[in-house]
Amino acid sequence: MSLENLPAISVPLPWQAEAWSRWQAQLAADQLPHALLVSGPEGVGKQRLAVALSRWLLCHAPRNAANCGECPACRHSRAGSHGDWLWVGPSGKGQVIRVDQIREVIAFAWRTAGFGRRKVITLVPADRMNTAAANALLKCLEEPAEDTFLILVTDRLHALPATVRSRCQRLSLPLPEAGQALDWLDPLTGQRERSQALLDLAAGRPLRAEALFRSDAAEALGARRTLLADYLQGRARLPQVAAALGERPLLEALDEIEALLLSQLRGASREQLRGGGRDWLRVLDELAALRRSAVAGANPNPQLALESLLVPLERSFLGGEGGATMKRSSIGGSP
Amino acid sequence: MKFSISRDALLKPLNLVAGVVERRQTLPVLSNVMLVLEGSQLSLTGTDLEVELVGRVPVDEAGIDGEVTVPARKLVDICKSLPEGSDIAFSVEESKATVRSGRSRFTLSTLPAREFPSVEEGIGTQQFSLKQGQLKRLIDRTSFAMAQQDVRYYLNGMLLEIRQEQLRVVATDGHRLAMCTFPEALSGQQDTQVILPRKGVLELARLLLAENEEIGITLGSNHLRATTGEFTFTSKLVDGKFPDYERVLPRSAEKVVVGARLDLRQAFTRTAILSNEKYRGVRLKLSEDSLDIVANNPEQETAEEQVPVEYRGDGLEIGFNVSYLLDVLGVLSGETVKLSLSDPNSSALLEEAEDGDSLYVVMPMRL
Repeated sequence: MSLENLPAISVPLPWQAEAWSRWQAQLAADQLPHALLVSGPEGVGKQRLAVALSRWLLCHAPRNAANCGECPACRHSRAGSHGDWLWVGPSGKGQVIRVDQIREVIAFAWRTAGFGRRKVITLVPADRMNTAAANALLKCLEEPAEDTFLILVTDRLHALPATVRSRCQRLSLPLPEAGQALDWLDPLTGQRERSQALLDLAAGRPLRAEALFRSDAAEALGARRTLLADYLQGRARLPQVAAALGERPLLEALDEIEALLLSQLRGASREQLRGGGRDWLRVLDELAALRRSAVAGANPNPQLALESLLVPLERSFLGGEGGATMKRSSIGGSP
Repeated sequence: MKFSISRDALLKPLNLVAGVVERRQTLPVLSNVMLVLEGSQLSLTGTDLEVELVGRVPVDEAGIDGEVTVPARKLVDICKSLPEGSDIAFSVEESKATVRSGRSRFTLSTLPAREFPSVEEGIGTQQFSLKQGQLKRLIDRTSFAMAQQDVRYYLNGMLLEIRQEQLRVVATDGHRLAMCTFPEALSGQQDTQVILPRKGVLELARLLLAENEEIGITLGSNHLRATTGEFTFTSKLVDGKFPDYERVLPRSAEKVVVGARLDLRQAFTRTAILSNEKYRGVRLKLSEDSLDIVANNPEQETAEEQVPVEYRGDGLEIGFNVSYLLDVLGVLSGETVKLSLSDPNSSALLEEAEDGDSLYVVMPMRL
């Protein structure tokens, strides 16, 4: 949840300009759809876009295609205490959006607006709605009250039921072009090389790169990445790698493994893919299943889970040492 | 900001206001109460973004004007646990609020008052006033029939309608309807309809304690505001259209039964024990000057009651949800109650036998 420390004026990111200007035209023509679904990979700034849009819709005197930052509505939306803006995120142990929260959304949608203007409901990440919650939302999503806007944000578009997807106008935000992302990162890092390195580590996702820069985690991540790559080529041992990754929360460790596998797969040739590629995809499937169960509240032993993924990858770097030395039988202990 | 006030004077409005503040709040500022000192008047504001309540109280010794928000629950607990009759000195310095009383001293965290979401002035044009007791009667007589979390969102509240200078409140959940009309004319009022949400209705009813004091009502397109000397209550409205309740009122109910209210109520309470726990159905068998009430449940247990009533006409057998009948008999006053029926598929009209200001419609059940 990023509703803390909002700036006075929320503006969209440079690579979102096209979507932004389209929305403006739509709003000017009174044709902005009441339900918007913003999807795209994590770390491209979807949430920022949702915040900027919400605050702009709520602002009493928008200026220069953004909220003014001065009116009472902007003051409250900045503090997160705007009565006509409902921000819904996952809660509780399961980290899901529960049906009670959606009931609150529905009640909110049918109440009059405190400032007598627009109301905005932002669901982030919308894919965390459980089935009951998604079904409860449908009616409201289809026909909300006048001047009420629902903004749904998701990293995993297809985790949302088709019934929800079909009721929203969709905007997909792809990864920005490297040039745009670097231009945006440069003022922060001060050097193009540093920006480039961060962006590489962040798999091209500018906001993740920014977070890495701010948290000084880039070096440690780079070291783990190198270690993992070494392991895939048989130059590092399993206990070492498992220990390094085991220090991270399981979900983050999974992300790191996935990012590396994906980047290696992208660079692989057809022959390589025919050889070990299929097994790699199987590991990716396993990884996705593990992540799903961890998100749903299961509590796998991190060490065992990581090893079950890593063991079959040992010395199986695509094309390296014959390419097909993968231990086929050892993908054990499925979660 | 600085003032001192007696504990007992502060506790009363503080309790009222803190009641609105919900315990589990996602926004920290919403679990706070806003204190504003202007001259010698202290106002306290609590809100959950749906209803807002401002309590007002004069302070004993006014120091410096100012505004601040402090955690509501903690301030209430502190004031409650201080001994009765003690005095409280409140002051704010930098970002901390200090409460002193006798040898006790508490330092509370604060949040700036400008982050506190309060409803702006000038929310509506339509204004009228009535006695608190009168408003309470209107609410008490109808609020039980409001729907709860119905998908027909416009039923989860109470309709306040002004038509031809008459104020009327209506509540319905689709199975029964309650309506109460204010007997005096509100001169010079335009026709209007607003739906006050369920929570607003219940909170407002809780505030109406001083029967004979006036309460001013302001209606706007987005809010309803109720003002007395001690508090200002503001609620958002339900953004929707209430169903046309006039069409639900039975027109051709020619079978009129008049009975003693308490006898009927007791008889229904007893038979309810053996009605189906889920559907709560009871059968009413009407014959000359007598009403038989029969209930049975899936365990084949039976309850039968015979109540003498005034009735002339053909016999009739009709089923009702006994809870709905009991709700109505519970809020009616007067010795006798009038029940108008037509056939087993048409709804029944209940009212006081003479000079009632309320009307109740209950749908029958097929048993």
